[in-house]
Amino acid sequence: MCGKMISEQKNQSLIEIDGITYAFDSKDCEIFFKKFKSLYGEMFNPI
Amino acid sequence: MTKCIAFHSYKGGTGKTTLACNLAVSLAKKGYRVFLLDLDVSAPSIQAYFEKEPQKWINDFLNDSADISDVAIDMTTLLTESSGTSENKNGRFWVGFCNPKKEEIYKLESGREDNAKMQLLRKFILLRERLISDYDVDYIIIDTSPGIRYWSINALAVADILFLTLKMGELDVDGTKKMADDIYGSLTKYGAKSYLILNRVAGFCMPDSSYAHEHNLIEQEIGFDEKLAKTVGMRIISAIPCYCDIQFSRKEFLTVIKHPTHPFASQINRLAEENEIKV
Repeated sequence: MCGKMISEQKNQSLIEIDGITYAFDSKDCEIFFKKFKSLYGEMFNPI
Repeated sequence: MTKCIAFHSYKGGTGKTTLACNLAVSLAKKGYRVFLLDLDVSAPSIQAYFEKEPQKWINDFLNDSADISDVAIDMTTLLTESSGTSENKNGRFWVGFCNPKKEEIYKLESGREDNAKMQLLRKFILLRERLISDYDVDYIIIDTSPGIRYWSINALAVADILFLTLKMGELDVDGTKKMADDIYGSLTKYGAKSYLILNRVAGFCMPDSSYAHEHNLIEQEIGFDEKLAKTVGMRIISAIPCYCDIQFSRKEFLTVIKHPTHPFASQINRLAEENEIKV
């Protein structure tokens, strides 16, 4: 979901949200993802 | 650490663009690196404060036809325009303007396929990241469109601090409360902080103090502020009196530059020093 491709594979964190595992390379990206998911619900489909 | 502050309102005409522009300049004058971003996509108006005709716009960056360096207009020289010197010479100030042409507004506002929408959203998040990585900014100040609109919501989602501005006298408390519950609630649960800014509060234009006290005018205002904050569920971070010389000016201007000792400029400078927005 982050604005750019995952830059450092070793720093990425894997977070499971609603049964799907997402990779984030920063805490900011993870928070943005959660905020957009909370705002747009099912309409938000980053994949 | 960068702080991203979004100015938003339920209704138009609350003065959020004036507040955003003046706060951005005030912070830069204090020595911070500040990027002011016009994201009032449907009615861009920041240009009126800076009298600049950019070659490239934020729209071009989002539509992949310009780099961030093309759309970031360096306005640092503005900081020394009033007194000939800035309070702190380390301050830097950039502005990203939004294109007011109807074709460009339509391009960003119109419906797109889901994939294209996600691409645009990624580009918007990348914009924030590039401002932090390439410009090392302390503050990103975003002016948004009023109400619940696609780009306003996106701007609020990438912000750390949300300023909901209300103009006294034309309040829609119920609408504001509903928007605060629906939108702000989704963001504050993930760490965003939200505050109310009351603009054009009676005060500067009040009748002389003996008349105001005799007729209980000041007490009524104070009581109302508290009730409003309780209803909307946000703390009032600033209550800015109405200043007729600013409100009824024929031309927009930056008070913190043009009249740095004006009471409005003092209010803005106080807001810039609030602990809640310190980096």
